[in-house]
Amino acid sequence: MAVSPSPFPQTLPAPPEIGADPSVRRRQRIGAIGQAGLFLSLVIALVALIVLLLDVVNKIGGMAVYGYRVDPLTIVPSIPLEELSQEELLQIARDFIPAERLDELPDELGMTLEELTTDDLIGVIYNEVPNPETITARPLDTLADQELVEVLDNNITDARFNQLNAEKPFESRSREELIELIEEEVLLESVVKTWPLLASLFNRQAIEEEIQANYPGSEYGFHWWLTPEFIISDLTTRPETTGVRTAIIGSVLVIFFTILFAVPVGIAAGIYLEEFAGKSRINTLIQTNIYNLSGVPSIIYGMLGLAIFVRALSEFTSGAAFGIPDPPPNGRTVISAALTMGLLILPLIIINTQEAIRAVPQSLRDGSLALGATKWQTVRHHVLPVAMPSILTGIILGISRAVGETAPLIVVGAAAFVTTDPSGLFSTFTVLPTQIYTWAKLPFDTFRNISAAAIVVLLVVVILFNLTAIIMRNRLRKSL
Amino acid sequence: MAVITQSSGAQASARERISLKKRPRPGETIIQSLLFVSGFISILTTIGIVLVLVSEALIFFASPEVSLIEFFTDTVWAPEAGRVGILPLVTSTLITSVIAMIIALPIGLSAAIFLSEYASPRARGYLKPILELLAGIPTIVYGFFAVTFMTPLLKNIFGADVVEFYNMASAGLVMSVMIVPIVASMSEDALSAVPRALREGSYGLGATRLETSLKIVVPAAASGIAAALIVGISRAFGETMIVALAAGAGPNFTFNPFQAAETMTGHIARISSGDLSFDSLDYISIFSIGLLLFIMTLTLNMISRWFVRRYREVY
Amino acid sequence: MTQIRSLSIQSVKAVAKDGIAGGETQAILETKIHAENLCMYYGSFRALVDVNFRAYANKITAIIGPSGCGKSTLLRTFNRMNDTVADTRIEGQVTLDGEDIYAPDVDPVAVRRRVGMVFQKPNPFPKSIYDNIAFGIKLYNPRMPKSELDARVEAALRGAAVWDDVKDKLKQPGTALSGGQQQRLCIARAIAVEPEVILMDEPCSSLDPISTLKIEELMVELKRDYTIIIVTHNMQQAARVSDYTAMMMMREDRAGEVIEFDETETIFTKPKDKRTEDYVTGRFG
Repeated sequence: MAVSPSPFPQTLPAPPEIGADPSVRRRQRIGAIGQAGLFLSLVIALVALIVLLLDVVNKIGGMAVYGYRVDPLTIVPSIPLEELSQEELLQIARDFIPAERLDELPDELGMTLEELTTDDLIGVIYNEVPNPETITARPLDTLADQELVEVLDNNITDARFNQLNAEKPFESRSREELIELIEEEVLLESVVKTWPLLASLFNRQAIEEEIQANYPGSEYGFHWWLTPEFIISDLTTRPETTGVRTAIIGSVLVIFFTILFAVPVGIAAGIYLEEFAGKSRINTLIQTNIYNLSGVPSIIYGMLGLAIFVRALSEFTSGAAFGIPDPPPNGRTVISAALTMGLLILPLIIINTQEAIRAVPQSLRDGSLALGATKWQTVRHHVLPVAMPSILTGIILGISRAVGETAPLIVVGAAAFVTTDPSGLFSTFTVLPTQIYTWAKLPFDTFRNISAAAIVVLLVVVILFNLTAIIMRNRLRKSL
Repeated sequence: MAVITQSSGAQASARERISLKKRPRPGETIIQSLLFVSGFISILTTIGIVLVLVSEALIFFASPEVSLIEFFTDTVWAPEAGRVGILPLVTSTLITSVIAMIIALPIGLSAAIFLSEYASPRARGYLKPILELLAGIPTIVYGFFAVTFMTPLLKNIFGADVVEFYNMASAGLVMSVMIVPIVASMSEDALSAVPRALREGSYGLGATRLETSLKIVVPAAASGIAAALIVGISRAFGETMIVALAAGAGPNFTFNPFQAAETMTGHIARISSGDLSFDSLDYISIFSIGLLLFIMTLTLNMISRWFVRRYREVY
Repeated sequence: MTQIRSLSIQSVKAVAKDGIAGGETQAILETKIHAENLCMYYGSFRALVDVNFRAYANKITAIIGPSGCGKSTLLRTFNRMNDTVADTRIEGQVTLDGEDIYAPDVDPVAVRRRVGMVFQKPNPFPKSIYDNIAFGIKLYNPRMPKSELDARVEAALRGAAVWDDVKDKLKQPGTALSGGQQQRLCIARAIAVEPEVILMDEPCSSLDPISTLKIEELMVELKRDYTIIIVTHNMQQAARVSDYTAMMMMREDRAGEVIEFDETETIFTKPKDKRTEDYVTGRFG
């Protein structure tokens, strides 16, 4: 633009340069810092997620030192000292009595070891050597098959012995199998010390040096806690051999019956509230009530289940009323858990179904009603098919919640140590989250390892469910 | 316009007229009743909860060992020993929840502001699902995280003799990780409901993005954010697994967050998971705790819904 | 096509005269739908006041008037579609063949069976073209043999002049058709259940001119078998296709009323009400 000569050129201020105002620049700087701060918050939230997952994964495997809970030498037959010759006894005394004691002994006894009678020599050995019977113990691998079976018989209960024999007769087992069996059943081969997965992968050298320094002679190696056997094994009291099959079957059964109860009822209630309910007082009450129920802590549902399903209705929930043979003493059964869990996820499913139905365009209903379809025909043929994917998303989220929910089931259900797979509505049971809780409570590393392994199993299921639901919902949003 | 109404037109004779009269539709009636019953189950659930909690709590308060005044003032909870002061359980619930909210609110709100005001739609498309995934992780996993990661970490930082094996700080901190996604997601909903015109008005005055976000958008979404805060607190009150694993295994009246103290939910979980006898005072007592917890969370949820309705009405 | 395009007020006059010129022809005029002193309320808001309206059998009756005056609301009282909106009620009477359709013992579903409706925006069901038509038929004859059902679907699609467009893609979704085809599909869907009356709520408002002409042509054909009531804001359309016209206006209190009802020719050439004259000549609205 051409500048026309001004009559008062001196009084015109210079036009401000954009961005030159120091206050603006300062504000922009604050803005940038603020933005970084906001972003940082998001990063913190995401880092928390990563750390949490790493913490779990870090415990599902790693370097481990093995040992026996029971000293092998204490269970094998040994040769009685009385049967040994004086020479052999003297050899034992020289080998097993510490050198300084050997020097002191002649003064204490008033004579040299060689001068003692065999009986006195045996007495000295018993006094001076800890666990003297193990000295002459015969190592497992020197024993005959029959002797191995005897070792087993002497150290486990008759019931267990018979059970093992029934699984596979001892006569038909090989030597190696028998030794393995003894290690498993009697010696309780166990992990005495573990290291985290990441350290084991990236710092194996240092760990091995540490093991050799602190656990000389011990067997060690890389130990996975999350193994196929872990998933299919029975529950036992030992972290090395226990498994989550019973808990997985329990979870699947409870969830199955939860779905059977909550999904139809939830969808039906959602349909009722969106399509059929007028504005009567009872319907407003139902609606408000559902919102409130969705905020009730899950443990309260557990208490409801405990008082109503487990206690008040125990006749039914234990199956006694239906003539189930040998019913459990109270209603801590699959059906009580499923009903409790069903009530818990019901509000979730109802609210979601309502939202899905609300999103169906009114024109579709009009089109159907105008043809003389009844309300239900309209809902059944036009509204539900359109709303279904979105309803399903809500159901998946509800199921995922039920899979991971722990507190109500602790209150309602699996209190005891359950080793038999639940088989139906009236079985006592345990579920995966309860099992995780029980193990995580114990302050031993190895129990935390199996707890982590079980968490991975649980998380895989839950994350798969959630991912499916989130992806489905995002697809739906795009298509609408 | 003289028109004669005739009953038999050309068209009518061709076709049989269908009666307009109502006919019974038993199927329709049955289905409608079933749908109503399904809706009514939720009412029965609430009635069930209230009935169970109140009736068992009444039995508890009627027993000779218990007085209502003692219940709210005594600082020892040991029903079998005749001491039933709920204060230790309530204080530890409050302490863990306050720790959780002090951290979760600023982080959750900041993350929400970033998502709603700064992030590109593409970035939001990735970040929000991740936050939702975080919200979907079962709380037992957070509990595990608290005992195996947070407690050792606190012991390392503050000293093993200061931090007890069970402690409220660890439970509260991990609870905040659990609550961040809830606060973030609810706040984000409230922030993105603020009309664009408000932001544009602010930019038009020369405000920076941060100034617009903090001084215009956040105050405009205040009631939604308040709702998120309250839901967060309510969740913290009701959270069980984290505190059951990490906070403590016995009631303890203390305000030191590094000490062990059992919360209301943790106590209920521990008492009811044992092989408890159904006529012991221990069993009856957990229902009085449950009733108090129910009242606390219900009140918070109702306030929160009131806030949500308010911001939905404004825009 | 050319014939349609030439349909103007003059030709409408001719049609109208055919129908009601002589005394003998007058006698066969049969009142199909009759609203007497009809008032309609949404909650406490009165949407229609003292409406008197007639639709004669096998005639096309147009309802015209400025937007917001309650044309659609009136139309929807004829098949009780307003029932689907919460909190509505009526005073006065609406009869179908002399039967009060708001009588307590009347089933709204049965009313809609006899009084079909086509909506402003084409709303085919998100199903195949075939299922769109078959749905209504199966509602009343759930066990109809496949061959008969096929024939009925074809007849309906032919009746709505859309058969040639869709006969090769009956399994494709109805929503994939063009707007005009969708609307004819909706008309086919309506006539498939053989109603006596078809209500059309601005059926061409979202269509292009060519599709509009096709629908208008179709309406004239359909009137041989059906009674048609059409709401339109397009006065040319009302003049082109309808035999009778009701003129509606909104009162001060925002309630809609019918200010004039007469043969279309009369409404468009010598209206009695000054407001009608202003409206049809384009001086208003």
